[in-house]
Amino acid sequence: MNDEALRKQNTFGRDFLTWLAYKSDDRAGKLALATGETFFLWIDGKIVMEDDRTAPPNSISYTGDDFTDQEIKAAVRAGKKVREARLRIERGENTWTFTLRGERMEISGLKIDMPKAADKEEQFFGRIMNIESLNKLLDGLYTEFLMDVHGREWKDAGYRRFQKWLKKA
Amino acid sequence: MGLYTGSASYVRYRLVEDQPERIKEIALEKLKQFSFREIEAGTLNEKSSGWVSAENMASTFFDDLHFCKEPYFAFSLRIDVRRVPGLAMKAAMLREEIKYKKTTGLEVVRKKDRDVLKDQVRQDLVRRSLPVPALFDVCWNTVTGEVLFFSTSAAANEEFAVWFLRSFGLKLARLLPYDLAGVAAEKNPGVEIRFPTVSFTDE
Repeated sequence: MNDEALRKQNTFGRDFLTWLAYKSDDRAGKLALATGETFFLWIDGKIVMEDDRTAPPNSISYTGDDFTDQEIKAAVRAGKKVREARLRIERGENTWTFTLRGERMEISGLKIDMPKAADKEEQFFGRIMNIESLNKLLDGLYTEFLMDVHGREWKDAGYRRFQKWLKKA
Repeated sequence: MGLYTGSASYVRYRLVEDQPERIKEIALEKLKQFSFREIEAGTLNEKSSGWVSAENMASTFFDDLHFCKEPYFAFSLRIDVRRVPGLAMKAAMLREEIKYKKTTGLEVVRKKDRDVLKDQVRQDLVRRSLPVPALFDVCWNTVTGEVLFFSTSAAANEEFAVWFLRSFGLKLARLLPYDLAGVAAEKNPGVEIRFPTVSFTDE
């Protein structure tokens, strides 16, 4: 597969979201980057999972507070991956809630939690720095995902750990 | 919308080529040149696109560097569209057909006359309809070369990338998961992108 084909025909975004759901559940929400930075990440009331190997794609979505990790695991076991999820990230004083769509790594409905600014300039810088912090955090998480799932040890160690989580009741 | 208030939805882009030197002066000139122009009442123009101030959608004069907030440029893309509702078109056509039949004494409208009538009705409705504005914030980080476009609509994103290229002569590439993986691989030798998908169930 050449670079352009690989650019368009890959499931990196969905794999990333599926890995996030696994890590968040496996570590009770507490995640860390290679830099040592720690934060909390949860699925926040919405997840859409899809198996696109079938036509039409077979999908299932859960909303509200009623779905459990077991339902997500059952969907993964059935071959589904996370297409989009509403996430909540808490790091220090910052909280971000937003929907991440895996396919194109789109952010939507991001709620920016910050104190009321004194003027437009302060408002702008407060918000854009908040957004860029989130982007940086997501880039860091994405790198962690690539190091793990696309790393040399995935087949022998990472995949086994994932299976252990998948089978855990 | 989203850069200053409310919840934010956005797509990340990066500049494909290096941005030119004196980017501030060039941006000021191009924002002015490609600024938004109102659709004049009574004309047949159905669409108008252009840059406006991110702080005030009615402000289309880029006479100073108010858009420059080191190291960012913040402005908005405004797209006004006049739309003729399908039902309004149908009602007006039926009314004109009745008039036509009365005037000509014919029971059916001839094909070529119908086409002429349709054009006249459409033009009349376009002239009378108000443009509906849509506003999308843009934030350009001139240090990293990353550009955020505050909408996830496919049509708006397409229009934005084309208008940006036309205005600044700079091509944008959307940061897709594959591109982000390339960036990560450059920075981290441990990352090797070898396969397009991962199976979580049958290795």
